[in-house]
Amino acid sequence: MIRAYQSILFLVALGLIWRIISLGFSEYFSTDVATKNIDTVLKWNSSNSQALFSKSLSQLSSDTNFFTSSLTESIISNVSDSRGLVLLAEHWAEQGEVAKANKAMRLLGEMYPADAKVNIAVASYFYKNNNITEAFQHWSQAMTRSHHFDTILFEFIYSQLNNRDMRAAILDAAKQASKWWPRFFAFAIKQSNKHDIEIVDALYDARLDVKNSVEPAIRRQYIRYLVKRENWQKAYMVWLSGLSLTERESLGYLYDGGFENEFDHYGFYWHAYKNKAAKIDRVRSNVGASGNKALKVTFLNKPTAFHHVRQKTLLSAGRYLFKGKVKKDGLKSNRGVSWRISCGRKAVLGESTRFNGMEHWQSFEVEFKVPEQNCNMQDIWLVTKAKNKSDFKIKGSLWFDDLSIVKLH
Amino acid sequence: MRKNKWIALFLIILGQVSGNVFAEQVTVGEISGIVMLNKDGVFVKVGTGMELEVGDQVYVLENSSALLLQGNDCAARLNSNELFKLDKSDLCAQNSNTINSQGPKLVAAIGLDEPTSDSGDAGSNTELPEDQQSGTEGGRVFSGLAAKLAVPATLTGAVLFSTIAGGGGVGAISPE
Repeated sequence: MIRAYQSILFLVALGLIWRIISLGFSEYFSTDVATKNIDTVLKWNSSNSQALFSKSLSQLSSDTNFFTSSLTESIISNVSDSRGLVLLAEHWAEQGEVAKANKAMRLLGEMYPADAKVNIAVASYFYKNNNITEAFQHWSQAMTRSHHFDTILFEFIYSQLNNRDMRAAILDAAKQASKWWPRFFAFAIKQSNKHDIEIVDALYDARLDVKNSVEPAIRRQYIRYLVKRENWQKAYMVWLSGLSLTERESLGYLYDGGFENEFDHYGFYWHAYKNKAAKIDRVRSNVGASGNKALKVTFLNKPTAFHHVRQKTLLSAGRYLFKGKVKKDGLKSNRGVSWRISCGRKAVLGESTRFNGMEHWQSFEVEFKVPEQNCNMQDIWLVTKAKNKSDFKIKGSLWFDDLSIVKLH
Repeated sequence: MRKNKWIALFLIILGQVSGNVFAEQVTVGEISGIVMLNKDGVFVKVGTGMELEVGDQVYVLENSSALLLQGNDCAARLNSNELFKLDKSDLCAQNSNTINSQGPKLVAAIGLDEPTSDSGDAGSNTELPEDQQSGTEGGRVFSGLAAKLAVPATLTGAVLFSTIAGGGGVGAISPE
């Protein structure tokens, strides 16, 4: 009895050893499938999916029956490999068996939803068959899974935006808040400088329609886009819509003249750009100022053409008064520092007195006129007055608070 | 003759002045979302029934709208992201003075009376174009890019797989 049992065990072990050896050889040769070792591989393992796949490919043009049967075997032997089904579906499509091909492609999409390459292959198939809606679903899945195809897919989709279905699909993606959509939005903004496809506004509106409020990053990009195009009023409206309740309390012809809110580098906020020669801070107000914060600019005695605090305004034509409070904290400069109001960065509309020396909080004001023409946007900026290099070296601090603009009637 | 000229001039001026003086107040009829008012540089949130004066600027924020009313026969619908400046005391005579390119859609009666032929200046009820930004048609085709992704009509395994290739051993298999 024991002997019989041992014999059975021996035979099983022998079978296993043979299987291991044959699979080993098969795998060994299959690494070299491309160099026509297909038959050798199949001799050792008749169900090697890669060899079957290659074998079927080799018979594609000569024996379609063999092609489909060996491809089917290849698919069955390794369902985790999507290539066979892709090829089979393509083959059916080529043979005019559209229903079968469609079914196979949809099956692929269901079987490998996380495989970006499969999704792109499926999308390509449906795109070729003028089914943009279904193609787009798979592109969308591919882009959701991977950034790898962003450039090529974004370029392709962008180039097809004159196609009504493609346009509808991309706008729909905005509404569905697809994961990849913000990346496409950034791409579309970049492309808008190069091409004449008008899509950015529609993309933004589509996102807005469904979410009721867009993500801050999207809003920031859109405002920058509008500002770059000098679409000032739209930029202002979009910026205004993104303000918090507290920020809205600081609105006026000049935004947040009390420096109560954070700086930012887009829209109509105060911009405070980094500068090696000066430190720009919002600091706690002291006696003589109001609110919780004030602007403090500390110059570090290094040469600089300072113009790093600024804000854009959209004043209509007319006469205005720019006023505020200043505290001079030991400012040493040849020609001082002043506030300048200009149309963009070109025509100067007005300039405050030059701040220099030491003085406790004092009021200052400057009257200026916004012309009817060519001055839709104005810049308010703090600048150094300089005629030569030595004028750029400044030491000491300036404090500002309660800045405002009022219209003169 | 000279006297008649002066009388005519006086009547014209009187007509202009009375038109401004006796024009009914523009008020905010209804609001959805957030609407801000800029009154001489001071921003306030607009509430229903608020009265507007010439020079006031109304900012209709995203996903918001407002209805301005003047009397019983004039109303202006302000849409999302619209900036409207009241330049004249006569709301319905202002359709050419809008700041925003969309313009207020001047509607003679929104939930009010139907416009009639004797309701005043016919031109004042002109509707300005719908949202002009949504009408963005056109574009360019980059045929070279299309070819990059569309699988060619003739089935070739290598081309097909090169479309989805990018590693994973797929590209290592050649149908040749």
